[in-house]
Amino acid sequence: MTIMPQLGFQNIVKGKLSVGDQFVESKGITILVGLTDQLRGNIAYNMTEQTAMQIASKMMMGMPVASLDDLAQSAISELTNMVTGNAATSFEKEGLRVDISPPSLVVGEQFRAKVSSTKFIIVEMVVDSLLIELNIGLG
Amino acid sequence: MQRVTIGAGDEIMNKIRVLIVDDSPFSQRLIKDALANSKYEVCGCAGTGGDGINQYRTLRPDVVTMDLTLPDMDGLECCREILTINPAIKIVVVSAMKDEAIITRGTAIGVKAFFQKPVKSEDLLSGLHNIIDAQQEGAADKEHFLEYFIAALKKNIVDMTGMDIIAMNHSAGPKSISHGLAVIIGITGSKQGRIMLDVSMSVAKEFANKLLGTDSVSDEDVINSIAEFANIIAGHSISQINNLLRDQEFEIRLTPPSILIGESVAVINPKMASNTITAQMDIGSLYMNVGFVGGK
Repeated sequence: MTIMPQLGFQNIVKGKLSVGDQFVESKGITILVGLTDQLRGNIAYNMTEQTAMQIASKMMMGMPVASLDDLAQSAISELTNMVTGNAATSFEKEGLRVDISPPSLVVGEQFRAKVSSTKFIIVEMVVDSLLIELNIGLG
Repeated sequence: MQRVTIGAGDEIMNKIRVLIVDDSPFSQRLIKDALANSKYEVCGCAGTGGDGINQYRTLRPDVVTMDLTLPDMDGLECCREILTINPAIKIVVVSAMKDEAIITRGTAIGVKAFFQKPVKSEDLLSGLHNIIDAQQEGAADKEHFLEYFIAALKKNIVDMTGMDIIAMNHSAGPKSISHGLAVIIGITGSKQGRIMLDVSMSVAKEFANKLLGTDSVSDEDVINSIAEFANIIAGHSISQINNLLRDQEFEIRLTPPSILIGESVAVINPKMASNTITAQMDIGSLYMNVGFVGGK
């Protein structure tokens, strides 16, 4: 991904790739972004609250983030917006027009999310040792 | 919108801040001159797309002018990047090129206007004027949009379940707490936002029963029928809005629904002003939260 280095993350590794069925079990924070036009679906970015706070901190030049306050929430939202937007731009280069919807940040204990397809792709991204799970439901 | 207040004697002016992204210092100067002695103030100039994005983040201007031929990236790609940071930013293209393909592509990305170099001061100023003023109207539009969603909700509850609505309440607020089952549908296109239909699991079960005309439903049926109901409400609403604004080349689209299952889960959408409509029925309440990005 080209976005992460721009935000100050050094090490980006693609982890496990697997297929999920029915539900995404939230790790604490799940950010939902919708896709439409020539590619329809949903992406659920899944991570622990701790990870979210650490990512927000890095995005804000190392400023300490003690809780997931408005600023941290905004940072994480923007991150998913940028990543998804970036992916959409790449699709556009391949001739696929993709439109994305603003991200919805979901925070809570023990909740599940259903993306737009029953079977979905799970891609683990490890960014500077922080795990973000991308659940991609298309179609 | 951030405004800089400049006092000059008895006059106080709120300037609208502009970031110029153009690799030619000469062009930067021309645009700056075109905006001189106006309500616009150039707060920064960037010579590359990358610098433009960084300066956008730091300065948070109200308007960005973008040249299309930048040394490090395509100008429209830079527009896209900035728009993903803030979908509400007003970006205009100021370039030597101005053909149909660029206008189409740019408009699809979210560029508000296109000016051809060398741009005349009065053209730039009136063009920006239209865009900035449109934003003021935008706020009024949002109130208007909500009415369509309310109408669609009312009509479909009655038509599809046969139930009466005892009361309908309206409150404004950024955060929504899910009651058990929430369906989130994204809205994109000419305006960006999202609609969320939220209900407790017990009310969802009763509601699904009414929708399907049954006495008992499986959890899966409950989830599917509430999701479909949400889709119908959203679909009806945006169709009406699109029809209404058809001559303004306005079109909003829906993304597929995602579903949340869990109680006391907070759903947050930064940069979105949203409204919650509560529809009270005899089986309980259904909550619809509609929000759009842009405007206050």
